[in-house]
Amino acid sequence: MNNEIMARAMSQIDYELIAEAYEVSAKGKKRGKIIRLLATAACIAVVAVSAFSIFSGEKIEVSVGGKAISNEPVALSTLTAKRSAQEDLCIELNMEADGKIQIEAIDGEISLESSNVGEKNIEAADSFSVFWTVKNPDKSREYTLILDDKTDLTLSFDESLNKWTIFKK
Amino acid sequence: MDDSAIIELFLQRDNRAISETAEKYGAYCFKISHNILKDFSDSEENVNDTYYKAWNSIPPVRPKIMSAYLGRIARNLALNKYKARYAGKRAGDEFAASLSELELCTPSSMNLEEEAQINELGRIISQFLHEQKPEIRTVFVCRYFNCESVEDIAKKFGFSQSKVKSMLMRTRMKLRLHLEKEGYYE
Repeated sequence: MNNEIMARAMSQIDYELIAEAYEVSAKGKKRGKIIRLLATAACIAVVAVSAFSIFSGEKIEVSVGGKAISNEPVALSTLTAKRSAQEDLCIELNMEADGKIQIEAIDGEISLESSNVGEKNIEAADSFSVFWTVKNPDKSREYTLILDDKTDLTLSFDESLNKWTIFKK
Repeated sequence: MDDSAIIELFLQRDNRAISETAEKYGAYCFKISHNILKDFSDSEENVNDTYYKAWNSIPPVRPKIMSAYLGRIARNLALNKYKARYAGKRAGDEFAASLSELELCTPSSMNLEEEAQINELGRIISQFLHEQKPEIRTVFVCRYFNCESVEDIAKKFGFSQSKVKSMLMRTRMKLRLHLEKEGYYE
């Protein structure tokens, strides 16, 4: 079992913390029915807000190697995803945003220049490239980048294509 | 039945202690077990093992918080089964993914055999979590104690998955800094 030390240590956290999380689960089940009713009413509001967002220009378009990234996986070629001698993966993502956005690397690191030291969080605006580096990626795992707290970009290995792919969630 | 009544049944060695525990906490213990083991029959067996261990420990133990006491037993037993199942092999499941996320925070020099060290690390993590906002620490505990998926946590709290991932990452980074201050990294 990898990382057994942290797994065992987490078992030893205070009872109050464990009970607090239990209470959230217990209350959540009771709230569930009410939330489902409210969700129906909220749908109309959500659609209205989304329409407003589109018209007010809040959208982020991402492409890699000239291909737009959507919820369908885009396979990364050797041109779009460079491998270093240490088997690190570096992907250049081209982004078009209306205004400033925050990009957060849940996994790996990002930078606005390929030669820059990677960071976990950057802010950029309008049209720019982001270099996403994942060190020694594990083919059994998924890796995530978050755009403006709204959209996930997911890097995942496709066994059938034998390639890394990227898609929006 | 409230916890004090259930504990009294344990103390009286009344078999109803198990049925009452199962009714109140069975689903919770099963959930934790299944989040780790991902197998229905293994999880059921783990829950039964949890009741057995509770029966053998109460008395002399008198749990202050029954849910947490049982949750910890269920989790530790499930960890043992998980370790035995994947001995020497690499697991690719959700639980393994959650453990990988904690690698950032893993102290560089600790001996798994030293139970006191593990307990102390748990205490330090608790200290850190108590300093966080309730929502943040509860999301952290749901992910790394209950071993719930990001998707389930997002639904439970009414957050987007992006927000949950972001919260967890920031909390892991802060935990890393906290452990550095406590001298856990050389």
